[in-house]
Amino acid sequence: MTGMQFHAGDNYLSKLNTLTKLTITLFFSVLIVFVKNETALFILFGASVFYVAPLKRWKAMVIGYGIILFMYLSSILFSALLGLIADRFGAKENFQMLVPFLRVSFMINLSLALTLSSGVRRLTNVLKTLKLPRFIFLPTIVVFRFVPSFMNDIKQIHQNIKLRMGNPNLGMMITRPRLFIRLMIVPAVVRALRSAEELSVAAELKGIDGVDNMINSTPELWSWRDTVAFSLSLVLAATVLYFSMEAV
Amino acid sequence: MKTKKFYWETRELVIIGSFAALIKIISFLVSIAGGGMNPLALIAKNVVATSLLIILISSVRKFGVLTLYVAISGIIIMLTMGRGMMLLPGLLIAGILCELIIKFTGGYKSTRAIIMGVFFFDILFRVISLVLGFLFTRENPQLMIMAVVVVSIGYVGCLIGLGVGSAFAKELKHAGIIKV
Repeated sequence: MTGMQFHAGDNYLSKLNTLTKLTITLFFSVLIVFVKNETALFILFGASVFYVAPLKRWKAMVIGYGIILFMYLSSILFSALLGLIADRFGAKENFQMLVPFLRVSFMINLSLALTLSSGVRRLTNVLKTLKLPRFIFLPTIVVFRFVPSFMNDIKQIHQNIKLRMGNPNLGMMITRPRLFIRLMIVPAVVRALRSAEELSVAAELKGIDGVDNMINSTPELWSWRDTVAFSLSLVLAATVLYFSMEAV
Repeated sequence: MKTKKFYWETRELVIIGSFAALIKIISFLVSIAGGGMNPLALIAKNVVATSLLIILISSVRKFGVLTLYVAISGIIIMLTMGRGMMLLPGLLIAGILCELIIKFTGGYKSTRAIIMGVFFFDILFRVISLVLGFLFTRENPQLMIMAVVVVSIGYVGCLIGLGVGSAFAKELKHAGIIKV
């Protein structure tokens, strides 16, 4: 990915409609809360790995799982320590402790699939098709469009500090918090307020102030892949609910 | 030509969007620099986030600014991470309640009222997040204890942020960057 350009690759995930991926992610983010049966959770996790696999972002996946594994191990350790103090806090069966981590891993896979296969442009286009009210649409577009410019501002502030006092150490945030706020945060906020003024004028001049309806110039069409994805999601949800009901 | 009049001016909506992005970016950078679960980084992150929230409300002095900020942040989390849908209704209610607190304790021109509103918003936000966190980790209550400890440490940062934010907003008003 360079700048605002986004290359999701040639795989079934990038060919899916962004709205389909978003709906699937939101649907399962609600469903997962109510699932606590181990078979159902393993099925969901396996399906999510299969779903995200075409992106081949193994490094991001391994880092995500590594963090979750670290939390899982520290949770076992913490549980064992509490068990020494009081029995009622003590370690439960390890699988029960694994349940929350399966939920989180599942959500990580879905999030990776959504963000890495869609990119900023397609996500903002979804907002246009949803016909949201002006007071929601405009600030949301601002967030998506101007995160790169904020990052650029922060880089410039960083370079400015480098010129004045040598290479700034981010550990300064802990060791000298007042200086960190004065050198990094204050310029970033002032810059953000100034940018907001400039952007609002630019938005009005370009006619994107929400007065007129906007048309999506590159609409994503519904294809057979979206129908298949929705059908498979429903089958998966039904299977998971079946195993969950059976456990009750 | 007759111009349609809206409750929210374009400038105000752009400021809300900019701050939603700014708070996310700076909190993320502070978290990365501090190594995630480091207590000092947790405090620093919350100091910055709360200060910026006070500056946002001081810049856009209108009923609904906090609720709209929460809605935008929630939508961003939903679109990019696919979560937050369950958290959003609770947070919107928290936002509206805190807006009412600001309105009835002195209005948006009173710094004390803004601080009080943000103070209660930070509490409600954390309580709602913990309740939802409990739903995700209910099989493992030990994790909840850890979560409560982490959230409490973070809340210390919010309390510091209330002071830092109001002082910062005062300076920005003095410099003419925030229009009174």
